Amino acid sequence: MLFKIIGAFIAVVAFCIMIELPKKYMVQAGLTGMIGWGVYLLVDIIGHRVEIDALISALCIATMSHILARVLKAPVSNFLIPGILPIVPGGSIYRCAYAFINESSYLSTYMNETLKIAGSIALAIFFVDSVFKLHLPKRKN
Amino acid sequence: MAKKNISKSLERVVAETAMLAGETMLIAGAEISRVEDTMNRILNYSKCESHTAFVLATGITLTLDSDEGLITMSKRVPDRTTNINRIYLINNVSRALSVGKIDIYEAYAEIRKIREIRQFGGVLYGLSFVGVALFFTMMLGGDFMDCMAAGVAGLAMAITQWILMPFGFNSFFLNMISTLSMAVTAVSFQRFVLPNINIDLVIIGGIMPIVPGVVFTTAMRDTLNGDYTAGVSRMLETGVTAFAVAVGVALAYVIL
Repeated sequence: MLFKIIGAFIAVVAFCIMIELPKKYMVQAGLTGMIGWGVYLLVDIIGHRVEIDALISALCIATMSHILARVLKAPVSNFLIPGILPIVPGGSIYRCAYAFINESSYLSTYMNETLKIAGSIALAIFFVDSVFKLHLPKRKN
Repeated sequence: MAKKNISKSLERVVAETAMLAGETMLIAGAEISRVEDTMNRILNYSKCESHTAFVLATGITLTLDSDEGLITMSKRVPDRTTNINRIYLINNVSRALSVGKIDIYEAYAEIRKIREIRQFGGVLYGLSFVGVALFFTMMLGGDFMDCMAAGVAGLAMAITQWILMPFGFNSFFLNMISTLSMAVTAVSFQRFVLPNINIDLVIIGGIMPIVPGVVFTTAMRDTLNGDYTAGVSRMLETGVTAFAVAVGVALAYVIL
Protein backbone atom coordinates (compact mmCIF):
# COMPACT_ATOMS: atom_id res chain seq x y z
CA MET A 1 0.00 0.00 0.00
CA LEU A 2 2.78 2.41 0.92
CA PHE A 3 4.60 1.61 -2.31
CA LYS A 4 1.44 2.17 -4.29
CA ILE A 5 0.97 5.62 -2.80
CA ILE A 6 4.60 6.61 -3.29
CA GLY A 7 4.32 5.34 -6.86
CA ALA A 8 1.30 7.59 -7.36
CA PHE A 9 3.24 10.63 -6.18
CA ILE A 10 6.18 10.07 -8.51
CA ALA A 11 3.92 9.12 -11.43
CA VAL A 12 1.99 12.35 -11.06
CA VAL A 13 5.17 14.42 -10.82
CA ALA A 14 6.51 12.72 -13.95
CA PHE A 15 3.23 13.49 -15.65
CA CYS A 16 3.61 17.13 -14.61
CA ILE A 17 6.82 17.27 -16.62
CA MET A 18 4.90 16.02 -19.62
CA ILE A 19 2.21 18.69 -19.37
CA GLU A 20 4.69 21.45 -18.41
CA LEU A 21 3.24 22.30 -15.06
CA PRO A 22 4.96 25.35 -13.50
CA LYS A 23 7.87 23.98 -11.47
CA LYS A 24 6.84 25.55 -8.19
CA TYR A 25 3.50 23.72 -8.12
CA MET A 26 4.77 20.25 -8.87
CA VAL A 27 5.00 19.01 -5.30
CA GLN A 28 1.52 20.22 -4.45
CA ALA A 29 0.11 18.60 -7.60
CA GLY A 30 1.91 15.37 -6.73
CA LEU A 31 0.45 15.45 -3.24
CA THR A 32 -3.04 15.98 -4.65
CA GLY A 33 -2.66 12.93 -6.84
CA MET A 34 -1.14 10.90 -4.03
CA ILE A 35 -3.90 11.68 -1.53
CA GLY A 36 -6.52 11.02 -4.22
CA TRP A 37 -5.04 7.60 -4.89
CA GLY A 38 -4.80 6.88 -1.16
CA VAL A 39 -8.50 7.63 -0.80
CA TYR A 40 -9.24 5.42 -3.80
CA LEU A 41 -7.41 2.48 -2.23
CA LEU A 42 -9.06 3.01 1.15
CA VAL A 43 -12.56 3.16 -0.31
CA ASP A 44 -11.75 0.10 -2.37
CA ILE A 45 -11.03 -1.87 0.81
CA ILE A 46 -14.49 -1.07 2.16
CA GLY A 47 -16.47 -2.03 -0.92
CA HIS A 48 -15.29 -3.28 -4.30
CA ARG A 49 -17.08 -0.90 -6.60
CA VAL A 50 -14.82 1.02 -8.95
CA GLU A 51 -17.32 3.75 -9.69
CA ILE A 52 -17.80 4.55 -5.99
CA ASP A 53 -14.02 4.51 -5.49
CA ALA A 54 -13.55 6.89 -8.39
CA LEU A 55 -16.37 9.16 -7.30
CA ILE A 56 -15.21 9.64 -3.72
CA SER A 57 -11.58 9.98 -4.66
CA ALA A 58 -12.39 12.47 -7.44
CA LEU A 59 -14.46 14.48 -4.96
CA CYS A 60 -11.44 14.68 -2.64
CA ILE A 61 -9.10 15.61 -5.47
CA ALA A 62 -11.38 18.31 -6.83
CA THR A 63 -11.98 19.82 -3.39
CA MET A 64 -8.29 19.80 -2.65
CA SER A 65 -7.49 21.42 -6.01
CA HIS A 66 -9.95 24.23 -5.38
CA ILE A 67 -8.57 24.89 -1.90
CA LEU A 68 -4.96 24.80 -3.11
CA ALA A 69 -5.81 27.09 -6.02
CA ARG A 70 -7.28 29.65 -3.68
CA VAL A 71 -4.45 29.46 -1.17
CA LEU A 72 -1.66 29.59 -3.76
CA LYS A 73 -3.49 31.91 -6.18
CA ALA A 74 -3.12 29.63 -9.19
CA PRO A 75 -5.66 28.26 -11.67
CA VAL A 76 -7.61 25.25 -10.41
CA SER A 77 -6.60 23.13 -13.39
CA ASN A 78 -2.95 23.31 -12.22
CA PHE A 79 -3.84 20.79 -9.53
CA LEU A 80 -6.98 19.18 -10.88
CA ILE A 81 -5.52 17.87 -14.14
CA PRO A 82 -2.50 16.05 -12.65
CA GLY A 83 -4.48 15.03 -9.57
CA ILE A 84 -7.16 13.25 -11.58
CA LEU A 85 -4.58 11.26 -13.54
CA PRO A 86 -4.28 8.23 -11.21
CA ILE A 87 -8.01 7.48 -11.39
CA VAL A 88 -8.44 7.98 -15.14
CA PRO A 89 -9.81 4.66 -16.46
CA GLY A 90 -6.72 3.62 -18.44
CA GLY A 91 -6.95 0.07 -17.16
CA SER A 92 -10.54 -0.31 -18.29
CA ILE A 93 -9.72 0.99 -21.76
CA TYR A 94 -6.97 -1.60 -22.00
CA ARG A 95 -9.24 -4.41 -20.82
CA CYS A 96 -11.85 -3.35 -23.38
CA ALA A 97 -9.32 -3.65 -26.17
CA TYR A 98 -8.11 -6.98 -24.81
CA ALA A 99 -11.61 -8.41 -24.48
CA PHE A 100 -12.48 -7.16 -27.95
CA ILE A 101 -9.53 -8.96 -29.52
CA ASN A 102 -10.15 -12.19 -27.64
CA GLU A 103 -13.87 -12.08 -28.41
CA SER A 104 -14.47 -12.31 -24.71
CA SER A 105 -17.94 -11.85 -23.34
CA TYR A 106 -16.52 -9.42 -20.79
CA LEU A 107 -16.29 -6.68 -23.41
CA SER A 108 -19.55 -5.02 -22.41
CA THR A 109 -18.62 -5.30 -18.72
CA TYR A 110 -15.39 -3.42 -19.27
CA MET A 111 -17.04 -0.91 -21.60
CA ASN A 112 -19.55 -0.30 -18.85
CA GLU A 113 -16.81 0.07 -16.29
CA THR A 114 -14.96 2.64 -18.41
CA LEU A 115 -18.09 4.73 -18.87
CA LYS A 116 -19.01 4.45 -15.19
CA ILE A 117 -15.61 5.61 -14.00
CA ALA A 118 -15.56 8.46 -16.52
CA GLY A 119 -19.06 9.43 -15.45
CA SER A 120 -18.09 9.36 -11.77
CA ILE A 121 -15.13 11.64 -12.37
CA ALA A 122 -17.29 14.00 -14.39
CA LEU A 123 -19.93 14.06 -11.69
CA ALA A 124 -17.35 14.82 -9.01
CA ILE A 125 -15.82 17.66 -11.02
CA PHE A 126 -19.28 19.06 -11.77
CA PHE A 127 -20.30 18.91 -8.15
CA VAL A 128 -17.21 20.48 -6.62
CA ASP A 129 -16.92 23.17 -9.30
CA SER A 130 -20.54 24.12 -8.70
CA VAL A 131 -20.16 24.23 -4.93
CA PHE A 132 -17.12 26.49 -5.14
CA LYS A 133 -18.96 28.86 -7.47
CA LEU A 134 -21.70 29.45 -4.92
CA HIS A 135 -21.87 32.84 -3.27
CA LEU A 136 -24.23 34.55 -0.89
CA PRO A 137 -27.18 36.03 -2.74
CA LYS A 138 -27.01 39.78 -3.18
CA ARG A 139 -30.24 41.25 -1.94
CA LYS A 140 -31.53 44.59 -3.08
CA ASN A 141 -32.67 46.86 -0.30
CA MET B 1 9.96 46.14 -24.29
CA ALA B 2 8.38 46.18 -27.73
CA LYS B 3 9.06 49.18 -29.87
CA LYS B 4 6.03 51.36 -30.26
CA ASN B 5 4.55 51.25 -33.69
CA ILE B 6 3.29 54.75 -34.37
CA SER B 7 1.12 53.75 -37.28
CA LYS B 8 -0.99 51.42 -35.17
CA SER B 9 -3.65 52.84 -32.89
CA LEU B 10 -3.80 51.77 -29.27
CA GLU B 11 -7.02 49.87 -29.91
CA ARG B 12 -5.40 47.91 -32.68
CA VAL B 13 -2.49 46.93 -30.45
CA VAL B 14 -4.87 45.91 -27.68
CA ALA B 15 -6.84 43.73 -30.06
CA GLU B 16 -3.69 42.10 -31.40
CA THR B 17 -2.38 41.45 -27.89
CA ALA B 18 -5.68 39.88 -26.85
CA MET B 19 -5.70 37.69 -29.95
CA LEU B 20 -2.13 36.57 -29.37
CA ALA B 21 -2.85 35.76 -25.74
CA GLY B 22 -6.01 33.87 -26.62
CA GLU B 23 -4.36 31.87 -29.34
CA THR B 24 -1.44 30.89 -27.13
CA MET B 25 -3.74 29.81 -24.31
CA LEU B 26 -6.01 27.83 -26.59
CA ILE B 27 -3.07 25.98 -28.12
CA ALA B 28 -1.81 25.28 -24.60
CA GLY B 29 -5.15 23.62 -23.81
CA ALA B 30 -6.85 26.11 -21.49
CA GLU B 31 -10.54 25.99 -20.67
CA ILE B 32 -12.64 28.22 -22.90
CA SER B 33 -13.93 30.40 -20.08
CA ARG B 34 -10.39 31.10 -18.93
CA VAL B 35 -9.34 32.12 -22.44
CA GLU B 36 -12.34 34.42 -22.76
CA ASP B 37 -11.74 35.93 -19.31
CA THR B 38 -8.13 36.68 -20.12
CA MET B 39 -8.93 38.16 -23.51
CA ASN B 40 -11.67 40.35 -22.06
CA ARG B 41 -9.33 41.52 -19.35
CA ILE B 42 -6.83 42.60 -21.99
CA LEU B 43 -9.53 44.17 -24.16
CA ASN B 44 -10.70 46.16 -21.14
CA TYR B 45 -7.38 48.00 -21.26
CA SER B 46 -8.57 49.88 -24.36
CA LYS B 47 -11.35 51.55 -22.32
CA CYS B 48 -13.75 50.94 -25.19
CA GLU B 49 -17.35 50.54 -24.18
CA SER B 50 -18.10 47.33 -25.93
CA HIS B 51 -15.89 44.40 -26.70
CA THR B 52 -16.40 40.69 -27.09
CA ALA B 53 -14.11 37.72 -27.25
CA PHE B 54 -15.77 34.64 -28.63
CA VAL B 55 -13.76 31.46 -28.35
CA LEU B 56 -14.53 28.05 -29.77
CA ALA B 57 -12.42 24.95 -29.36
CA THR B 58 -11.00 25.45 -32.87
CA GLY B 59 -10.99 29.20 -33.38
CA ILE B 60 -11.18 32.68 -31.88
CA THR B 61 -13.13 35.79 -32.86
CA LEU B 62 -12.88 39.15 -31.17
CA THR B 63 -14.61 42.46 -31.75
CA LEU B 64 -13.59 45.80 -30.29
CA ASP B 65 -15.82 48.84 -30.76
CA SER B 66 -13.23 51.61 -30.97
CA ASP B 67 -13.53 55.29 -31.92
CA GLU B 68 -12.19 54.58 -35.38
CA GLY B 69 -14.79 51.93 -36.06
CA LEU B 70 -15.10 48.27 -35.29
CA ILE B 71 -12.01 46.12 -35.11
CA THR B 72 -12.77 42.47 -35.76
CA MET B 73 -10.29 39.66 -35.95
CA SER B 74 -10.72 35.97 -36.29
CA LYS B 75 -8.22 33.18 -36.21
CA ARG B 76 -8.35 29.47 -36.72
CA VAL B 77 -6.46 27.45 -34.13
CA PRO B 78 -5.85 23.91 -35.32
CA ASP B 79 -2.98 23.00 -32.98
CA ARG B 80 -3.55 21.19 -29.75
CA THR B 81 -1.01 20.55 -27.01
CA THR B 82 -0.88 20.76 -23.24
CA ASN B 83 1.30 23.36 -21.62
CA ILE B 84 -0.04 24.52 -18.30
CA ASN B 85 2.92 26.78 -17.62
CA ARG B 86 2.03 29.05 -20.55
CA ILE B 87 -1.59 29.30 -19.45
CA TYR B 88 -0.46 30.23 -15.99
CA LEU B 89 2.04 32.87 -17.18
CA ILE B 90 -0.34 34.56 -19.63
CA ASN B 91 -3.00 34.66 -16.95
CA ASN B 92 -0.53 36.50 -14.73
CA VAL B 93 0.39 38.94 -17.51
CA SER B 94 -3.26 39.80 -18.09
CA ARG B 95 -3.75 40.42 -14.37
CA ALA B 96 -0.67 42.62 -14.18
CA LEU B 97 -2.00 44.56 -17.16
CA SER B 98 -5.41 45.11 -15.64
CA VAL B 99 -4.01 46.50 -12.38
CA GLY B 100 -1.65 48.78 -14.33
CA LYS B 101 1.68 47.20 -13.43
CA ILE B 102 2.71 46.96 -17.10
CA ASP B 103 1.48 48.70 -20.25
CA ILE B 104 0.09 47.04 -23.35
CA TYR B 105 3.37 47.11 -25.29
CA GLU B 106 5.18 45.33 -22.48
CA ALA B 107 2.33 42.83 -22.27
CA TYR B 108 2.59 42.13 -26.00
CA ALA B 109 6.34 41.53 -25.72
CA GLU B 110 5.84 39.31 -22.67
CA ILE B 111 3.28 37.15 -24.45
CA ARG B 112 5.55 36.82 -27.47
CA LYS B 113 8.23 35.55 -25.12
CA ILE B 114 5.86 33.16 -23.30
CA ARG B 115 4.90 31.53 -26.60
CA GLU B 116 8.41 30.13 -26.85
CA ILE B 117 8.92 29.09 -23.23
CA ARG B 118 9.62 25.45 -22.49
CA GLN B 119 10.51 24.54 -18.93
CA PHE B 120 11.98 21.16 -19.71
CA GLY B 121 14.22 19.94 -22.50
CA GLY B 122 13.48 17.11 -24.88
CA VAL B 123 15.43 14.50 -22.93
CA LEU B 124 13.51 15.17 -19.73
CA TYR B 125 10.27 15.08 -21.71
CA GLY B 126 11.22 11.65 -23.03
CA LEU B 127 12.20 10.47 -19.56
CA SER B 128 8.84 11.58 -18.22
CA PHE B 129 7.21 8.89 -20.41
CA VAL B 130 9.45 6.34 -18.73
CA GLY B 131 8.66 7.80 -15.31
CA VAL B 132 4.90 7.80 -15.83
CA ALA B 133 4.87 4.22 -17.15
CA LEU B 134 7.23 2.89 -14.47
CA PHE B 135 5.64 4.50 -11.44
CA PHE B 136 2.13 3.95 -12.67
CA THR B 137 2.79 0.25 -12.70
CA MET B 138 4.20 0.59 -9.19
CA MET B 139 1.10 2.52 -8.19
CA LEU B 140 -1.15 -0.26 -9.44
CA GLY B 141 0.76 -2.80 -7.40
CA GLY B 142 3.34 -4.18 -9.83
CA ASP B 143 6.51 -5.69 -8.44
CA PHE B 144 10.06 -4.65 -9.34
CA MET B 145 10.24 -6.60 -12.61
CA ASP B 146 6.86 -5.28 -13.79
CA CYS B 147 8.03 -1.74 -13.16
CA MET B 148 11.25 -2.26 -15.10
CA ALA B 149 9.39 -3.77 -18.04
CA ALA B 150 6.94 -0.85 -17.99
CA GLY B 151 9.86 1.58 -17.96
CA VAL B 152 11.32 -0.05 -21.05
CA ALA B 153 7.91 -0.03 -22.71
CA GLY B 154 7.54 3.66 -21.87
CA LEU B 155 10.94 4.29 -23.40
CA ALA B 156 9.81 2.55 -26.58
CA MET B 157 6.81 4.85 -26.67
CA ALA B 158 8.92 7.97 -26.15
CA ILE B 159 11.35 6.93 -28.90
CA THR B 160 8.51 6.21 -31.32
CA GLN B 161 7.01 9.63 -30.68
CA TRP B 162 10.39 11.26 -31.12
CA ILE B 163 10.95 9.51 -34.44
CA LEU B 164 7.47 10.10 -35.82
CA MET B 165 6.91 13.66 -34.61
CA PRO B 166 8.83 15.45 -37.42
CA PHE B 167 6.78 13.72 -40.13
CA GLY B 168 3.62 15.54 -39.18
CA PHE B 169 1.41 12.55 -38.47
CA ASN B 170 -2.00 13.42 -37.11
CA SER B 171 -2.56 12.78 -33.44
CA PHE B 172 -4.73 9.67 -33.92
CA PHE B 173 -2.08 7.91 -35.96
CA LEU B 174 0.73 9.10 -33.72
CA ASN B 175 -1.03 7.84 -30.60
CA MET B 176 -1.93 4.55 -32.22
CA ILE B 177 1.57 3.80 -33.47
CA SER B 178 3.26 4.75 -30.23
CA THR B 179 0.82 2.63 -28.23
CA LEU B 180 1.44 -0.20 -30.66
CA SER B 181 5.21 -0.03 -30.25
CA MET B 182 4.82 0.18 -26.48
CA ALA B 183 2.54 -2.86 -26.38
CA VAL B 184 4.73 -4.85 -28.77
CA THR B 185 7.72 -4.15 -26.52
CA ALA B 186 5.80 -5.18 -23.41
CA VAL B 187 4.37 -8.35 -24.91
CA SER B 188 7.67 -9.49 -26.41
CA PHE B 189 9.30 -8.81 -23.06
CA GLN B 190 6.88 -11.26 -21.53
CA ARG B 191 7.29 -13.83 -24.31
CA PHE B 192 11.06 -13.83 -24.57
CA VAL B 193 12.70 -12.27 -21.51
CA LEU B 194 10.63 -12.30 -18.36
CA PRO B 195 7.72 -14.75 -18.56
CA ASN B 196 6.62 -13.99 -15.00
CA ILE B 197 5.72 -10.33 -15.38
CA ASN B 198 2.12 -9.25 -15.02
CA ILE B 199 1.50 -8.12 -18.58
CA ASP B 200 -1.79 -6.35 -17.77
CA LEU B 201 -0.17 -4.01 -15.28
CA VAL B 202 2.77 -3.34 -17.59
CA ILE B 203 0.54 -2.33 -20.49
CA ILE B 204 -1.84 -0.29 -18.34
CA GLY B 205 1.14 1.62 -16.97
CA GLY B 206 2.55 1.97 -20.45
CA ILE B 207 -0.55 3.49 -22.01
CA MET B 208 -0.93 6.02 -19.21
CA PRO B 209 1.14 8.78 -20.88
CA ILE B 210 -1.37 8.84 -23.74
CA VAL B 211 -4.68 8.08 -22.04
CA PRO B 212 -6.71 11.29 -22.40
CA GLY B 213 -7.08 12.37 -18.80
CA VAL B 214 -6.17 15.99 -19.39
CA VAL B 215 -8.61 16.61 -22.23
CA PHE B 216 -11.33 14.76 -20.36
CA THR B 217 -11.00 17.00 -17.32
CA THR B 218 -10.99 20.13 -19.47
CA ALA B 219 -13.99 18.89 -21.44
CA MET B 220 -15.96 18.40 -18.24
CA ARG B 221 -15.15 21.87 -16.96
CA ASP B 222 -16.01 23.44 -20.32
CA THR B 223 -19.35 21.69 -20.37
CA LEU B 224 -20.12 22.87 -16.88
CA ASN B 225 -19.27 26.46 -17.80
CA GLY B 226 -21.84 26.34 -20.59
CA ASP B 227 -19.29 26.09 -23.41
CA TYR B 228 -21.08 23.13 -24.90
CA THR B 229 -19.43 23.27 -28.31
CA ALA B 230 -15.99 23.09 -26.75
CA GLY B 231 -17.18 20.47 -24.31
CA VAL B 232 -18.50 18.26 -27.07
CA SER B 233 -15.50 18.67 -29.32
CA ARG B 234 -13.12 17.90 -26.47
CA MET B 235 -15.23 14.93 -25.41
CA LEU B 236 -14.91 13.67 -28.97
CA GLU B 237 -11.16 14.22 -28.79
CA THR B 238 -11.12 12.11 -25.62
CA GLY B 239 -13.06 9.35 -27.35
CA VAL B 240 -10.82 9.39 -30.42
CA THR B 241 -7.67 9.21 -28.30
CA ALA B 242 -9.04 6.38 -26.19
CA PHE B 243 -9.97 4.58 -29.38
CA ALA B 244 -6.45 5.07 -30.74
CA VAL B 245 -5.01 3.57 -27.56
CA ALA B 246 -7.40 0.61 -27.73
CA VAL B 247 -6.58 -0.04 -31.39
CA GLY B 248 -2.85 0.18 -30.67
CA VAL B 249 -3.03 -2.40 -27.89
CA ALA B 250 -5.32 -4.65 -29.89
CA LEU B 251 -3.02 -4.56 -32.93
CA ALA B 252 -0.09 -5.59 -30.77
CA TYR B 253 -1.97 -8.70 -29.66
CA VAL B 254 -2.97 -9.46 -33.23
CA ILE B 255 0.61 -9.19 -34.46
CA LEU B 256 2.20 -11.25 -31.70
